[in-house]
Amino acid sequence: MSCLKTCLLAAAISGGAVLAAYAAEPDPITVTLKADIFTPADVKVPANQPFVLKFVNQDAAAAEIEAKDLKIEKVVAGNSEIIVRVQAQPAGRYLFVNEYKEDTVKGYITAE
Amino acid sequence: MLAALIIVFREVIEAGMIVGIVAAVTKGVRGHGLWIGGGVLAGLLGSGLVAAFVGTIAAAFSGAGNELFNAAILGIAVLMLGWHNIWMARHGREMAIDLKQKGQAVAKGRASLYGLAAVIAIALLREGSEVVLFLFGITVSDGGSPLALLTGGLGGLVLGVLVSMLTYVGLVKIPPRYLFGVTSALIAFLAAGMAAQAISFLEQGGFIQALGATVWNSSAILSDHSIGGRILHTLIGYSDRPSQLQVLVYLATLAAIFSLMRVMAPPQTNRASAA
Repeated sequence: MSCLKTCLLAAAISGGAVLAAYAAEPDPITVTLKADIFTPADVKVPANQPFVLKFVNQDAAAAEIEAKDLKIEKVVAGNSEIIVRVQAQPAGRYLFVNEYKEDTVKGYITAE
Repeated sequence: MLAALIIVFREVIEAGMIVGIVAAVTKGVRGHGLWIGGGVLAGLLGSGLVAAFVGTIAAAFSGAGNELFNAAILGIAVLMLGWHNIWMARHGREMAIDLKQKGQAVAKGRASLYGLAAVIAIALLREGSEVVLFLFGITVSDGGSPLALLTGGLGGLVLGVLVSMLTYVGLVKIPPRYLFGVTSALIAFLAAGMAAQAISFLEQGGFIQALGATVWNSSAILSDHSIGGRILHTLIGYSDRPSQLQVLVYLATLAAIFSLMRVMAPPQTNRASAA
C-alpha cells in the first residue's frame, strides 16, 4: 500500500515536471494532411532547437506519420490530430511520410 | 496489394514471433494452448479497443498519451518476461521432473503463464491496433482499389501467423536439454529490446531528454524498417539508431535478468545443468 502511494506520488511529481516542461516548449507548427497531401509540404523549423509539430489529419483514414531520421513514428486517427515532439536537430532536410502510403504521401522538414 | 501485404506483415512479424517463442517456452505445460489462445484473444480485443480510442489516447497527457501508453505496456511486458526467466531459473528443473508425472506442473507453472499470456496480449495489441487502423483506413478512403489492398493486408496477417508457427516449430526442434538455455536467452534479449523501446517512446514523448545522442546509425546497412531489421529487432532488440540511454537500459536489463537468474538458481541445479 505504502509502495503504491510512493509510486503514485513519484508519478504525480514526474508528471508535474513533464507538464511544466511542456508549458515552456515552443508553439507547435501545424502540418495538415488532406486528400493525401501534406500542407506545408516543406516545413521550416529552427536548427539545433527542440520543436513541436501538430499533425492535423483531415482525411477519414488513419495515417502513420513517420520520419526515421527524426525518430517520429506515430499514428494519427482519421479526422484527428496529434502532437509530435522532436529533439534538437542539426540543419538539414528530413523526409517524413504517411507510412501507410509511403511512396506517394510525403513531405520534408527543413531545419535551418 | 503487395504494398499492403508488406505493411501489415511488417507490423505483425514481431507479435507473430513472440507468440511462437512463448508457445515453445511453455510447451509441455498442460493447458498452455489455452493460455496462449487467451493471450491472443485478449490482444486482438485490445487491438480493437486501442484502435477505437487512438484519438483519445493520443490527446491525453498534452499529446504524449500514446508514447506513455506504449512505454507503460512495454514496461509491463519487460517485468513479466524477466519474472518468468527468474522464476524458471528457480523452478524449471523441478517442473521438468513433474511434467513426467503430469498434472502438478500445471499448478506450479500457472503463475508464470499468466505473465506470458499478458506478454502475448501486449505484443498483439501494440502492433495489432496499427493493423486495424490501416485496414480500416483502406475501407474508408476512396482512392485505390480497396479489395486488392484488403486482400494484401489479410495476406500479411496470414504470413504473420506463418512466422509464428515457424518460430514455434524451429524452437521445439531444439533438443530438450538445450531448449531451456536457448529460450531463457531468447526471453532475456526480448525483454532487453522491449526495455530499450520503452525508452525510445519516453524520448519521443519528451519525457526524457538526457543521454539522447544517437550512438550509431546503421540504417544504411540494416534498416529497422526492413523485414530483416524487424526480425533482429524482435530477437535481440536491434535498432538502427539507438540513443545512449537506450543502449544503457538494454545492457542493464540483460545484466539484471541474467544476474537474478544466477542468484535465484538452486545451487545443485546450476551444477547439474553445467555438467
